[in-house]
Amino acid sequence: MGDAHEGASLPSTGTDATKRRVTYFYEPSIGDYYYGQGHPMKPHRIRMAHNLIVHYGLHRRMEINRPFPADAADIRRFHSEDYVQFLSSVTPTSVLDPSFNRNLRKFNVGEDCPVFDGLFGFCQASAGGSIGAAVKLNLGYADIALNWAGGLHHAKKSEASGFCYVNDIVLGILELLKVHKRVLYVDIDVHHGDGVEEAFYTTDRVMTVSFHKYGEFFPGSGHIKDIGAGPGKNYALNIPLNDGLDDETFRGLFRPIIQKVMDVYQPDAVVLQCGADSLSGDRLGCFNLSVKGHADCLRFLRSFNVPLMVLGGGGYTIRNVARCWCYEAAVAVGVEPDNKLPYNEYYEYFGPDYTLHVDPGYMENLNAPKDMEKIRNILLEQLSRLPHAPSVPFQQTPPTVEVPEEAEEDMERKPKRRIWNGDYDSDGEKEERSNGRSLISDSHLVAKDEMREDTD
Amino acid sequence: MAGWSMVADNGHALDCVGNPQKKLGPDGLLVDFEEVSRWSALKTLQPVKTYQCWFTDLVKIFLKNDCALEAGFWTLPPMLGDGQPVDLLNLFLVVRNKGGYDAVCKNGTWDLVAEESGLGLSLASSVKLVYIKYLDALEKWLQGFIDEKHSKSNSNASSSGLSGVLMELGAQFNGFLRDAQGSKYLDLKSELNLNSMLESCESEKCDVDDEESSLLDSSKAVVGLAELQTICLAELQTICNKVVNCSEMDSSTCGEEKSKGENPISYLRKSVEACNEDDKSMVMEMCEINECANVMELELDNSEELSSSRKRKRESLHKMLNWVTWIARDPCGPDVAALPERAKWNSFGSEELWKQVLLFRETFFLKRSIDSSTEQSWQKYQKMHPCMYDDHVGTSYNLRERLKCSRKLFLGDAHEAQSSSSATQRVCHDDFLTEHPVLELPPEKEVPLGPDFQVEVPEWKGLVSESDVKWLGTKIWPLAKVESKFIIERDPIGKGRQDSCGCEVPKSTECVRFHTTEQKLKVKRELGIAFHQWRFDKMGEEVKLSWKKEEEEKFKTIVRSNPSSLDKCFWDEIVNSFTTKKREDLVSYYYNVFLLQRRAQQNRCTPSCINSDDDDDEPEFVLVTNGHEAAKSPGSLIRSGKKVPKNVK
Repeated sequence: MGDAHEGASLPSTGTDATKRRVTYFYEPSIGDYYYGQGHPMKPHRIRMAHNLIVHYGLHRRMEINRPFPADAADIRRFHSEDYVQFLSSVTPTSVLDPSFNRNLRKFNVGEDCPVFDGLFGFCQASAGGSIGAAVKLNLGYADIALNWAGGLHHAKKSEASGFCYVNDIVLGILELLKVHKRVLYVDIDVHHGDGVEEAFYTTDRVMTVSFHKYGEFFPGSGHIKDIGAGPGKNYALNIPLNDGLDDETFRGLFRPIIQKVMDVYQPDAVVLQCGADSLSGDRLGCFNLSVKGHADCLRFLRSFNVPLMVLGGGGYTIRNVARCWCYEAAVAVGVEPDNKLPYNEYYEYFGPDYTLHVDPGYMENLNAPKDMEKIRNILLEQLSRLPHAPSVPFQQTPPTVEVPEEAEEDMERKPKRRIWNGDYDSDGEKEERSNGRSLISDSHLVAKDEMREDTD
Repeated sequence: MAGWSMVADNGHALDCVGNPQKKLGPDGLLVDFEEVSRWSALKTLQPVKTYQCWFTDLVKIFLKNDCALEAGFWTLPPMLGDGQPVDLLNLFLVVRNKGGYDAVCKNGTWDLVAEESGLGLSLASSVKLVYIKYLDALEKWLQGFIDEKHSKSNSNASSSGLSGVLMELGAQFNGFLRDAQGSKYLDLKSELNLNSMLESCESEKCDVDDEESSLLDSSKAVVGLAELQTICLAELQTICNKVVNCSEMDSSTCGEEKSKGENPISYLRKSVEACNEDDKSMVMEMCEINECANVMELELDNSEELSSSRKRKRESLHKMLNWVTWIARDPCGPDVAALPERAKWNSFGSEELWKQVLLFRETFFLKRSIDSSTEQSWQKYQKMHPCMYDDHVGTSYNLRERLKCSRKLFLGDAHEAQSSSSATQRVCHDDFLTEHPVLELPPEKEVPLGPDFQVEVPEWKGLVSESDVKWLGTKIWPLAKVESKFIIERDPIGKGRQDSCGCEVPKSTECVRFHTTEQKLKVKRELGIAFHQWRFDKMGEEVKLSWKKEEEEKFKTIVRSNPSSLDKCFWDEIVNSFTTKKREDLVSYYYNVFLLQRRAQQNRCTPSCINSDDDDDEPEFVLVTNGHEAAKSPGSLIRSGKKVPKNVK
């Protein structure tokens, strides 16, 4: 595994000296599942991501396993019996039988969630990967476990939804809960992580945090006032956002909120859903994040050194999905890959630039700094209502929860310059500035200097 | 601010041609349109912004008028050395609460003022400077103003001069201060800056501790502000109603339209291009009215008693204005359709947008020239209410909608038809939405509770069950045993490609094919059996090696002969035609060979148009939406995606 050359890798000094042991679950047949002509969900993107990962040599820093397929009994740990029975037996031919109609409606199978050839096999691979990732973390065999075929966060207990049939995330978290007292779920898909939120809405053993587009947008849930219920009250966080969300705005929300969550909730394990439809130019999404802005979430969560499960999710401009998940695999193993893609079997998909990173196009950011401040304050306030480390006496808090390594944060800046294309002059000043920025024009700046002189 | 420029003779202050950004108002103030739009971008916190904006106006006018200073050189709002904008109104109120400038100076409490204004303790001297520069004279003046209010304001308020305007504003502002003691504003402000105020303001602290009362207070404050706004807008509404009525005029007036061109569209185009003063002012006026309608809408939203018919009028007006703004932005755009001959105009109903414009133009100008009294009170309101100057946000919606459409995203004509059928509804709804940031949207869905929805999470009792190791799956990498003893040549981790190569035609498909094969061999040597386990042998163009030439041709022919533009679906036919091949083989060929080759072609022929990395260029959506096009499905992720441009503002 040791390789002399590490490219422009993340710093391996400081408190982050121990590299993360990364396990990655990949089902080789995943790319040949097909939702149907014109359906935006394309499992082929997972194969493309895997292809890039290998051509960049990232596999050398990982253990890569083929998932054990979850069977009906395993899936029933969350899903209802009749629904699982339906999923495991339905085929594209049997679905034509009129007697199936009732079930199709009942389980919301049809338009968004078609019955395709191999449907159950696909679900088994997806769920098996996420449960496998959880087990890997449970046994302490890995620090980070990836499953790009997972992250299907819309699936409900007895219902398919939003291209998702089996909620691998819920199954994975249930597995994690065997060993970990508290699990944090973070969702950066452009769509609200409703299935996961709903499943754990009334428990404080799982905190769900979802950043998503809100307002006339699928699935319609995820209002900021949805905060959980019963013992789970305040353990669901929703960050509603508007179109055009850019890296900087996102980071200005993600980091402070997650920091506070980690401080207050002190999870023993974290699950990150990396839906890539929050990227700029997504076919169904409406945010404007760059791959680096997206991967910054993973970078930040990784820095806490808490067992971390990283899952896929949405993502409908497949070349960008492959870019994103390849880059995030690189972040997980602590490598900064070259921007020029290595030649690979899917090279032409990445034309005409053939690069790993593409500049997000111009898009108006409808998330006003003032609103973001307000959202941040509301959520930080919600978090301040939480008792420290619920479900377990405070002193039993395991030692694995540490503050994020300062050293890494500092040293991150150098590569970040490139990552963020110079968008950030400096991380520290950003916060104060963001409020005034939209109001500052050239003339203002002149006046500002004037004023400073006057003050002197 | 921009609004002041409208206090002009005949309302033509906006006619200045040549410099669209800066307009010289009647009082010599430079008007910065960009500034206005910046304000409008921040309009999310409507009441606060409105009052800030309004107060800024007051200060600006005051500085210009009474202090005879070059206010144009001063920035509004002022910026501190660190770039923070100063909320003048807030600052003014804080100082006022502390007894005014003199008292603050005497007590040496500028640092407190700085802190309570949310600017930070260390900026006391800067804050003092800002106060002296911008607000001190105003404070003195208002003090004197209160004393002689009764005698003076009544006589001056009706005069049309600038001092009259100032008097009006002064009177209003004093009323605001008297009624609310400015505390409502501060309350509202504190709600918004919960955290920053938390540390600085004692009284706010209590509010935060008791969340309920804080919310109650702020909602009271909002109500108070809304009341004030309502009063301010009362007269404006009457005018707006008149304008709306104008647009509803009978279509018979259309025949009398004295147009210069034959085709209304080309007429509009010409006039905008040529910067014809009259017509440009018309467009400008449209925008004014647009704003006006916006204000009215805001007002109407507050009111309980809206009649549905008025709502409809408002919708149609909005639709028309959006259309005009859209045309004005790109008069020669390819999306601007040609219109019928003038002779045929009468045969079109007033539901046509272009016709509405003509009708509106006719009636509006007619109205203006006749009813000068309306115009006067109109202008009066223009100077009264700054929220009128906000850009109408709906205009950008149109632009983006168009951009999205021109990108030809995945949905076919079916959806467009659907969207146009619901256009009226949508325009209205969207405009409503733009008035509210995400935070103020109501919850759309409730999270269902019960054992049918939540998963049972056992209580934590320490480690109870072991994980089954079967879940670790099959380890493929690293290899169980290294097959080759010799060191394999391999690239460093994270290494990209070298661009220089000795190929005859670099970057050609042959060149790429060569290097890809080369790379593949390298990877194959390194991966050993993992190469096959991961099915690298079934990735990329080499998949076609297991296909016969005829089969490939057949595949291509089927795809080509079933263009989705004809609502045809090639996939079913492919599945039926290749009975010997499994689904996996067909999908594999489609992604690994067919699409890859098409992408290679696109990268070289139409590199600027690569939306089609997979199948976007074949709106294959037909299959999925087949038979459901008309049925709007709010719970659909696919549809939701298409909703995006709708929300884009």
